Amino acid sequence: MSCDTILDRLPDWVANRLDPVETASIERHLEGCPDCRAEAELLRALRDAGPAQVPVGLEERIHAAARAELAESAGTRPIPLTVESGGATGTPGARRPRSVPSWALGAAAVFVLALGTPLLVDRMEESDASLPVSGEPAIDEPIATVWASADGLIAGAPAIESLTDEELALLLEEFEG
Amino acid sequence: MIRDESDERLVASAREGDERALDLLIRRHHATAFRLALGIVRDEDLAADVAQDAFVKMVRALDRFRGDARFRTWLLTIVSNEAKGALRKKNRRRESSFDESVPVADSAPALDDQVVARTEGERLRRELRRLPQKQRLAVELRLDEGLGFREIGELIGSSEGAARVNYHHGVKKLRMWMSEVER
Repeated sequence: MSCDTILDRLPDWVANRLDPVETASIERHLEGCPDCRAEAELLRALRDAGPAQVPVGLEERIHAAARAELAESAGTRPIPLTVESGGATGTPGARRPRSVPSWALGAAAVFVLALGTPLLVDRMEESDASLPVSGEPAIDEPIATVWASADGLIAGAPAIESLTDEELALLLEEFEG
Repeated sequence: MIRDESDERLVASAREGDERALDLLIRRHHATAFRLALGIVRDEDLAADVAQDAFVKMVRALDRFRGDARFRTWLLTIVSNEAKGALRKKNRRRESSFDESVPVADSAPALDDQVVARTEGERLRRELRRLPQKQRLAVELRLDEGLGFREIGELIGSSEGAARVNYHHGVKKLRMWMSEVER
Protein backbone atom coordinates (compact mmCIF):
# COMPACT_ATOMS: atom_id res chain seq x y z
CA MET A 1 0.00 0.00 0.00
CA SER A 2 1.18 3.52 -0.78
CA CYS A 3 1.56 6.22 1.88
CA ASP A 4 -1.52 8.03 0.47
CA THR A 5 -3.68 4.94 0.95
CA ILE A 6 -2.27 4.37 4.44
CA LEU A 7 -2.89 7.98 5.48
CA ASP A 8 -6.49 7.73 4.25
CA ARG A 9 -7.01 4.58 6.35
CA LEU A 10 -5.20 5.64 9.53
CA PRO A 11 -8.31 7.05 11.26
CA ASP A 12 -9.95 3.63 10.91
CA TRP A 13 -6.79 1.90 12.12
CA VAL A 14 -6.50 4.00 15.30
CA ALA A 15 -10.21 3.42 15.99
CA ASN A 16 -9.90 -0.35 15.42
CA ARG A 17 -12.44 -0.29 12.62
CA LEU A 18 -10.41 -2.43 10.19
CA ASP A 19 -10.40 -6.18 9.63
CA PRO A 20 -7.31 -8.15 10.77
CA VAL A 21 -5.84 -8.44 7.27
CA GLU A 22 -5.93 -4.69 6.64
CA THR A 23 -4.74 -3.98 10.17
CA ALA A 24 -1.68 -6.19 9.67
CA SER A 25 -0.96 -4.60 6.31
CA ILE A 26 -1.02 -1.09 7.78
CA GLU A 27 1.15 -2.12 10.73
CA ARG A 28 3.75 -3.57 8.38
CA HIS A 29 3.83 -0.27 6.51
CA LEU A 30 4.12 1.75 9.71
CA GLU A 31 7.15 -0.24 10.84
CA GLY A 32 9.12 0.98 7.86
CA CYS A 33 7.66 4.49 7.37
CA PRO A 34 8.50 7.10 10.05
CA ASP A 35 6.31 9.79 8.44
CA CYS A 36 3.14 7.69 8.44
CA ARG A 37 4.03 6.49 11.94
CA ALA A 38 4.23 10.09 13.19
CA GLU A 39 0.78 10.80 11.78
CA ALA A 40 -0.59 7.59 13.31
CA GLU A 41 0.75 8.65 16.73
CA LEU A 42 -0.87 12.07 16.39
CA LEU A 43 -4.21 10.58 15.42
CA ARG A 44 -4.04 8.08 18.26
CA ALA A 45 -3.38 10.86 20.79
CA LEU A 46 -6.27 12.84 19.34
CA ARG A 47 -8.51 9.81 19.43
CA ASP A 48 -7.50 8.92 23.00
CA ALA A 49 -8.39 12.42 24.19
CA GLY A 50 -11.90 11.54 23.04
CA PRO A 51 -14.53 13.47 21.13
CA ALA A 52 -16.93 15.85 22.85
CA GLN A 53 -19.09 14.17 25.47
CA VAL A 54 -22.80 14.01 24.86
CA PRO A 55 -24.63 16.02 27.56
CA VAL A 56 -26.27 13.91 30.27
CA GLY A 57 -29.96 13.40 29.56
CA LEU A 58 -29.79 14.42 25.89
CA GLU A 59 -30.63 10.94 24.63
CA GLU A 60 -33.71 10.80 26.87
CA ARG A 61 -34.76 14.28 25.72
CA ILE A 62 -34.52 13.20 22.11
CA HIS A 63 -36.42 9.98 22.81
CA ALA A 64 -39.28 11.90 24.42
CA ALA A 65 -39.51 14.53 21.67
CA ALA A 66 -39.24 11.99 18.86
CA ARG A 67 -41.81 9.64 20.40
CA ALA A 68 -44.24 12.52 20.84
CA GLU A 69 -43.74 13.46 17.20
CA LEU A 70 -44.18 9.84 16.11
CA ALA A 71 -47.45 9.59 18.03
CA GLU A 72 -48.65 12.89 16.61
CA SER A 73 -47.67 12.11 13.04
CA ALA A 74 -49.36 8.70 13.29
CA GLY A 75 -52.63 10.65 13.39
CA THR A 76 -51.80 12.95 10.48
CA ARG A 77 -49.80 10.59 8.29
CA PRO A 78 -50.87 10.80 4.63
CA ILE A 79 -53.79 8.60 3.83
CA PRO A 80 -53.40 6.73 0.57
CA LEU A 81 -56.29 7.68 -1.68
CA THR A 82 -57.00 4.77 -3.95
CA VAL A 83 -59.68 4.22 -6.50
CA GLU A 84 -60.70 1.17 -8.41
CA SER A 85 -63.76 0.28 -10.39
CA GLY A 86 -65.29 -1.50 -7.41
CA GLY A 87 -65.10 1.46 -5.03
CA ALA A 88 -62.75 3.46 -2.80
CA THR A 89 -60.40 2.27 -0.11
CA GLY A 90 -59.03 4.01 2.98
CA THR A 91 -57.40 3.22 6.29
CA PRO A 92 -58.55 0.36 8.50
CA GLY A 93 -61.09 1.45 11.04
CA ALA A 94 -61.83 4.59 9.07
CA ARG A 95 -65.25 5.61 7.84
CA ARG A 96 -67.14 3.02 5.89
CA PRO A 97 -65.97 2.77 2.31
CA ARG A 98 -68.15 4.80 0.05
CA SER A 99 -68.66 4.39 -3.60
CA VAL A 100 -67.57 7.61 -5.27
CA PRO A 101 -67.20 7.87 -9.04
CA SER A 102 -63.61 8.51 -10.06
CA TRP A 103 -64.63 11.54 -12.15
CA ALA A 104 -66.11 13.14 -9.01
CA LEU A 105 -62.92 12.58 -7.04
CA GLY A 106 -60.89 14.10 -9.86
CA ALA A 107 -63.19 17.10 -10.10
CA ALA A 108 -63.15 17.63 -6.34
CA ALA A 109 -59.35 17.40 -6.28
CA VAL A 110 -59.15 20.14 -8.92
CA PHE A 111 -61.60 22.19 -6.87
CA VAL A 112 -59.50 21.87 -3.74
CA LEU A 113 -56.38 22.82 -5.68
CA ALA A 114 -58.15 25.87 -7.03
CA LEU A 115 -58.89 26.96 -3.47
CA GLY A 116 -55.17 26.85 -2.79
CA THR A 117 -55.33 24.36 0.04
CA PRO A 118 -51.91 24.93 1.60
CA LEU A 119 -50.60 21.51 2.32
CA LEU A 120 -52.04 19.48 -0.50
CA VAL A 121 -49.41 17.11 -1.64
CA ASP A 122 -50.23 15.72 -5.01
CA ARG A 123 -47.84 12.93 -5.62
CA MET A 124 -47.90 9.42 -6.81
CA GLU A 125 -47.15 6.90 -4.13
CA GLU A 126 -47.01 3.19 -3.96
CA SER A 127 -49.96 1.61 -2.24
CA ASP A 128 -49.29 0.44 1.31
CA ALA A 129 -50.04 -3.24 1.15
CA SER A 130 -50.25 -3.38 4.94
CA LEU A 131 -53.39 -1.27 4.92
CA PRO A 132 -55.97 -3.16 2.92
CA VAL A 133 -59.62 -2.45 3.70
CA SER A 134 -62.16 -5.12 4.44
CA GLY A 135 -59.80 -7.82 3.26
CA GLU A 136 -59.81 -6.43 -0.25
CA PRO A 137 -56.52 -6.60 -2.12
CA ALA A 138 -54.50 -3.40 -2.12
CA ILE A 139 -54.73 -1.31 -5.24
CA ASP A 140 -51.61 -1.26 -7.36
CA GLU A 141 -51.83 2.29 -8.60
CA PRO A 142 -53.27 4.87 -6.21
CA ILE A 143 -53.99 8.20 -7.83
CA ALA A 144 -52.89 10.59 -5.09
CA THR A 145 -51.93 11.10 -1.46
CA VAL A 146 -53.59 13.79 0.58
CA TRP A 147 -52.78 15.55 3.87
CA ALA A 148 -54.72 17.45 6.46
CA SER A 149 -54.32 21.17 5.86
CA ALA A 150 -53.01 23.61 8.44
CA ASP A 151 -56.38 25.31 8.88
CA GLY A 152 -58.20 22.13 9.63
CA LEU A 153 -59.62 21.52 6.18
CA ILE A 154 -59.11 18.09 4.79
CA ALA A 155 -58.07 17.84 1.22
CA GLY A 156 -59.09 14.89 -0.89
CA ALA A 157 -60.62 11.58 0.01
CA PRO A 158 -61.33 11.97 3.74
CA ALA A 159 -63.34 15.16 3.12
CA ILE A 160 -65.19 13.69 0.20
CA GLU A 161 -65.98 10.51 2.04
CA SER A 162 -67.53 12.49 4.88
CA LEU A 163 -69.94 14.32 2.58
CA THR A 164 -73.52 13.30 1.97
CA ASP A 165 -74.70 12.88 -1.60
CA GLU A 166 -76.41 16.27 -1.36
CA GLU A 167 -73.26 17.99 -0.07
CA LEU A 168 -71.19 16.38 -2.78
CA ALA A 169 -73.65 17.51 -5.45
CA LEU A 170 -73.56 21.05 -4.00
CA LEU A 171 -69.78 21.05 -3.99
CA LEU A 172 -69.64 20.00 -7.61
CA GLU A 173 -72.28 22.55 -8.54
CA GLU A 174 -70.19 25.29 -6.94
CA PHE A 175 -67.13 24.00 -8.71
CA GLU A 176 -68.84 24.06 -12.07
CA GLY A 177 -69.84 27.65 -11.36
CA MET B 1 -33.29 -9.43 17.13
CA ILE B 2 -34.33 -5.84 16.50
CA ARG B 3 -30.92 -4.67 17.75
CA ASP B 4 -29.23 -6.28 14.74
CA GLU B 5 -31.56 -4.74 12.18
CA SER B 6 -30.16 -2.34 9.60
CA ASP B 7 -31.05 1.33 9.90
CA GLU B 8 -33.18 1.06 6.81
CA ARG B 9 -35.26 -1.79 8.29
CA LEU B 10 -35.67 0.18 11.50
CA VAL B 11 -36.86 3.18 9.51
CA ALA B 12 -39.50 1.00 7.85
CA SER B 13 -40.68 -0.19 11.28
CA ALA B 14 -40.64 3.33 12.76
CA ARG B 15 -42.73 4.49 9.84
CA GLU B 16 -45.33 1.94 10.92
CA GLY B 17 -45.30 3.52 14.39
CA ASP B 18 -42.83 1.12 16.06
CA GLU B 19 -41.37 3.12 18.96
CA ARG B 20 -38.69 0.53 19.72
CA ALA B 21 -37.30 0.90 16.22
CA LEU B 22 -37.27 4.66 16.63
CA ASP B 23 -35.53 4.36 20.01
CA LEU B 24 -32.82 2.21 18.48
CA LEU B 25 -32.20 4.68 15.67
CA ILE B 26 -31.84 7.43 18.25
CA ARG B 27 -29.51 5.33 20.39
CA ARG B 28 -27.29 4.59 17.39
CA HIS B 29 -27.03 8.09 16.01
CA HIS B 30 -27.70 10.71 18.68
CA ALA B 31 -24.05 11.10 19.69
CA THR B 32 -22.87 11.63 16.11
CA ALA B 33 -25.77 14.02 15.53
CA PHE B 34 -24.85 16.01 18.63
CA ARG B 35 -21.15 16.18 17.77
CA LEU B 36 -21.83 17.21 14.18
CA ALA B 37 -24.13 19.96 15.44
CA LEU B 38 -21.50 21.01 17.98
CA GLY B 39 -18.88 21.13 15.25
CA ILE B 40 -21.03 23.64 13.39
CA VAL B 41 -22.61 25.79 16.11
CA ARG B 42 -19.78 25.43 18.69
CA ASP B 43 -22.18 25.85 21.57
CA GLU B 44 -23.11 22.79 23.63
CA ASP B 45 -26.63 23.88 24.63
CA LEU B 46 -27.49 24.97 21.11
CA ALA B 47 -26.02 21.75 19.67
CA ALA B 48 -28.24 19.71 22.01
CA ASP B 49 -31.31 21.67 20.86
CA VAL B 50 -30.28 21.21 17.24
CA ALA B 51 -29.86 17.46 17.67
CA GLN B 52 -33.28 17.17 19.30
CA ASP B 53 -34.99 19.28 16.62
CA ALA B 54 -33.27 17.31 13.88
CA PHE B 55 -34.61 14.00 15.23
CA VAL B 56 -38.11 15.46 15.45
CA LYS B 57 -37.83 16.63 11.84
CA MET B 58 -36.51 13.22 10.86
CA VAL B 59 -39.61 11.57 12.35
CA ARG B 60 -41.84 14.07 10.56
CA ALA B 61 -40.10 13.28 7.28
CA LEU B 62 -39.93 9.50 7.67
CA ASP B 63 -42.35 8.99 4.78
CA ARG B 64 -40.05 10.91 2.50
CA PHE B 65 -37.00 8.71 3.19
CA ARG B 66 -36.74 6.53 0.10
CA GLY B 67 -33.47 4.76 0.83
CA ASP B 68 -31.62 6.41 -2.04
CA ALA B 69 -28.99 7.53 0.46
CA ARG B 70 -27.91 5.81 3.66
CA PHE B 71 -30.15 6.66 6.59
CA ARG B 72 -27.19 8.04 8.56
CA THR B 73 -26.24 10.40 5.74
CA TRP B 74 -29.86 11.51 5.41
CA LEU B 75 -30.21 12.13 9.15
CA LEU B 76 -26.88 13.94 9.41
CA THR B 77 -27.85 16.14 6.47
CA ILE B 78 -30.94 17.17 8.45
CA VAL B 79 -28.69 17.85 11.47
CA SER B 80 -26.26 19.86 9.35
CA ASN B 81 -29.03 22.00 7.82
CA GLU B 82 -30.64 22.50 11.22
CA ALA B 83 -27.30 23.53 12.74
CA LYS B 84 -26.55 25.99 9.95
CA GLY B 85 -30.02 27.49 10.38
CA ALA B 86 -29.55 27.77 14.15
CA LEU B 87 -26.17 29.40 13.65
CA ARG B 88 -27.60 31.95 11.22
CA LYS B 89 -30.37 32.76 13.68
CA LYS B 90 -27.87 33.09 16.51
CA ASN B 91 -25.65 35.40 14.46
CA ARG B 92 -28.61 37.56 13.45
CA ARG B 93 -29.63 37.90 17.10
CA ARG B 94 -26.09 38.82 18.05
CA GLU B 95 -25.87 41.41 15.29
CA SER B 96 -29.11 43.04 16.39
CA SER B 97 -28.30 42.89 20.12
CA PHE B 98 -24.70 44.04 20.29
CA ASP B 99 -22.60 46.87 19.09
CA GLU B 100 -20.47 45.86 16.12
CA SER B 101 -17.31 46.48 18.10
CA VAL B 102 -18.07 43.51 20.33
CA PRO B 103 -15.78 40.66 19.21
CA VAL B 104 -17.53 37.61 17.78
CA ALA B 105 -17.44 34.48 19.89
CA ASP B 106 -15.28 32.49 17.47
CA SER B 107 -12.39 34.89 17.90
CA ALA B 108 -12.55 34.71 21.68
CA PRO B 109 -11.18 31.60 23.34
CA ALA B 110 -13.85 29.26 24.65
CA LEU B 111 -13.81 28.70 28.39
CA ASP B 112 -12.36 25.20 28.08
CA ASP B 113 -9.65 26.54 25.75
CA GLN B 114 -8.36 28.65 28.62
CA VAL B 115 -7.80 25.61 30.80
CA VAL B 116 -4.26 24.32 30.54
CA ALA B 117 -4.21 21.16 28.46
CA ARG B 118 -2.53 18.42 30.45
CA THR B 119 -1.92 15.80 27.80
CA GLU B 120 -0.87 15.83 24.18
CA GLY B 121 -4.37 14.68 23.26
CA GLU B 122 -5.97 17.59 25.10
CA ARG B 123 -3.59 20.00 23.39
CA LEU B 124 -4.50 18.44 20.06
CA ARG B 125 -8.22 18.78 20.72
CA ARG B 126 -7.65 22.42 21.57
CA GLU B 127 -5.66 22.99 18.40
CA LEU B 128 -8.31 21.15 16.40
CA ARG B 129 -10.80 23.86 17.32
CA ARG B 130 -8.55 26.43 15.63
CA LEU B 131 -8.86 24.78 12.23
CA PRO B 132 -11.17 26.27 9.57
CA GLN B 133 -14.63 24.74 9.86
CA LYS B 134 -14.47 22.39 6.88
CA GLN B 135 -11.06 21.03 7.88
CA ARG B 136 -12.16 20.63 11.50
CA LEU B 137 -15.37 18.85 10.57
CA ALA B 138 -13.52 16.62 8.09
CA VAL B 139 -11.04 15.52 10.78
CA GLU B 140 -13.73 15.04 13.45
CA LEU B 141 -16.15 13.15 11.21
CA ARG B 142 -13.38 10.95 9.80
CA LEU B 143 -11.63 10.16 13.08
CA ASP B 144 -14.41 10.23 15.68
CA GLU B 145 -17.38 9.04 13.64
CA GLY B 146 -15.67 6.86 11.03
CA LEU B 147 -17.41 8.53 8.10
CA GLY B 148 -15.97 8.11 4.60
CA PHE B 149 -14.86 11.08 2.51
CA ARG B 150 -17.91 10.87 0.26
CA GLU B 151 -20.31 11.12 3.21
CA ILE B 152 -18.22 13.90 4.77
CA GLY B 153 -18.32 15.78 1.46
CA GLU B 154 -22.12 15.61 1.44
CA LEU B 155 -22.26 17.03 4.95
CA ILE B 156 -19.77 19.86 4.52
CA GLY B 157 -21.03 20.76 1.07
CA SER B 158 -18.09 19.67 -1.04
CA SER B 159 -17.01 16.84 -3.28
CA GLU B 160 -15.47 13.62 -2.02
CA GLY B 161 -12.07 14.79 -3.26
CA ALA B 162 -12.38 18.16 -1.56
CA ALA B 163 -13.40 16.45 1.69
CA ARG B 164 -10.25 14.30 1.50
CA VAL B 165 -8.10 17.40 0.89
CA ASN B 166 -9.77 19.20 3.80
CA TYR B 167 -9.04 16.25 6.07
CA HIS B 168 -5.38 15.96 5.07
CA HIS B 169 -4.80 19.72 5.26
CA GLY B 170 -6.34 19.73 8.73
CA VAL B 171 -4.12 16.90 9.96
CA LYS B 172 -1.06 18.52 8.36
CA LYS B 173 -1.75 21.79 10.18
CA LEU B 174 -2.18 19.96 13.48
CA ARG B 175 1.18 18.24 12.96
CA MET B 176 2.80 21.57 12.16
CA TRP B 177 1.32 23.37 15.16
CA MET B 178 2.23 20.55 17.51
CA SER B 179 5.82 20.49 16.26
CA GLU B 180 6.04 24.27 16.87
CA VAL B 181 4.84 23.76 20.44
CA GLU B 182 7.46 21.06 21.03
CA ARG B 183 10.30 23.26 19.79
